[in-house]
Amino acid sequence: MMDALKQHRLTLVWLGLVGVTALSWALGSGGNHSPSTVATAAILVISAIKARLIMREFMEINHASIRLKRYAEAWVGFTLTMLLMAYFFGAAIWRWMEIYLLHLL
Amino acid sequence: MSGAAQSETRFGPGQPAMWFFVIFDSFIYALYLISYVFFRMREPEAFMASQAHLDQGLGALNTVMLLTSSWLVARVVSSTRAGAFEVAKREVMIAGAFGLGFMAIKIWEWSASIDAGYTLTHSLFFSYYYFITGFHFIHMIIGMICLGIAWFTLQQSQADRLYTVETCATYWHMVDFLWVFIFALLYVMR
Repeated sequence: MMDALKQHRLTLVWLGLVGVTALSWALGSGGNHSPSTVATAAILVISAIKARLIMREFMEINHASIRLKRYAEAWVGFTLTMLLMAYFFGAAIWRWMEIYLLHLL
Repeated sequence: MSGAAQSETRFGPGQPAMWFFVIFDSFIYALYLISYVFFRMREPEAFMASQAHLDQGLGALNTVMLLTSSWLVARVVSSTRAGAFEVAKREVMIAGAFGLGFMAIKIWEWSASIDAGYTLTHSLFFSYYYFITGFHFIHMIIGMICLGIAWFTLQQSQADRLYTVETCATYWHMVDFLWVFIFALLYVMR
C-alpha cells in the first residue's frame, strides 16, 4: 500500500517536471531569440525548482539526514543566486573591470 | 545498515561516499555554469546569435528523456525496496534505453553543428557548449555503467543489493539535475 502511494507520488513529480520543462521551452522560444530578462529569470527559477524536486523526491533527500538536506538547499540556493547575479550584474561588472582593471594588464 | 532502508539517521540513500562525490562534482559544475553566464554577459548579442543555431526542440526532448529515465530509476529503488526485483530490472533496462536515446540525440546534434561549421573554435558560446555538454556526456557514460551495475546487482541475491541500487540511483539523478541547468542556460535563456 505504501509502495503504491510512493509510486503514485513519483509519477506526479515526473509529470510536473515534464510540464515545467515545456513551460521553460515556451518561455525560451517565445521571443524568437530576442533578449528577455523576465523570461530568463523565470527560466532560471524553474530550473532551480526542478533540481530541488529531483533532489527531494527522486534522490529521497526529504528522508535523508539534516546535513544532507541543508547541503541540497544550500546548493540550489547558491547556484540560483549566483546565476541570477551573473545574469543581472555581469554586464556592469565587465564594464567596471574594463574601466578600472583591464588596462592594468 | 543496508537493511535500514527508511532509516532517518543515515546520511542519505546508499553509500555516503557517493554523496560526497555528488556534492563535490555538483559544486564544480555550478561554478562552471556561473562562469558561463558571467562570460555571456560580456557579449550577450554574440552568445544569442550562436545559441540561435541550437535546436531548442531537441534540447527539450533530451530533457524529457533524462527526466523520464530519472523517474524510472526512482521507481527502481522503490521496487527493489518492495522486493519486486524482476520489475526493478525491467525498469533499469527502460531507464537505460532512455539514457542511450539521450546520448544518440546528443551525438546527432553535435555532428549536425560541426557539419554546419559551428565547431569548438567558432565562438566562445560554442566552446562552452562543447565543453559543458561534453563533460556531461562523460557523466552519462559513467551513469550508464552505474545502471549496468544496478542491473547486475538485481540479478544476484546478495542481501545488500538495495544499498548498491540506491548508490547507483544517486549518481544517475545527479546527471539529470545537472542537465536541467544545462538545458536552461545553453538552450533557452535569452
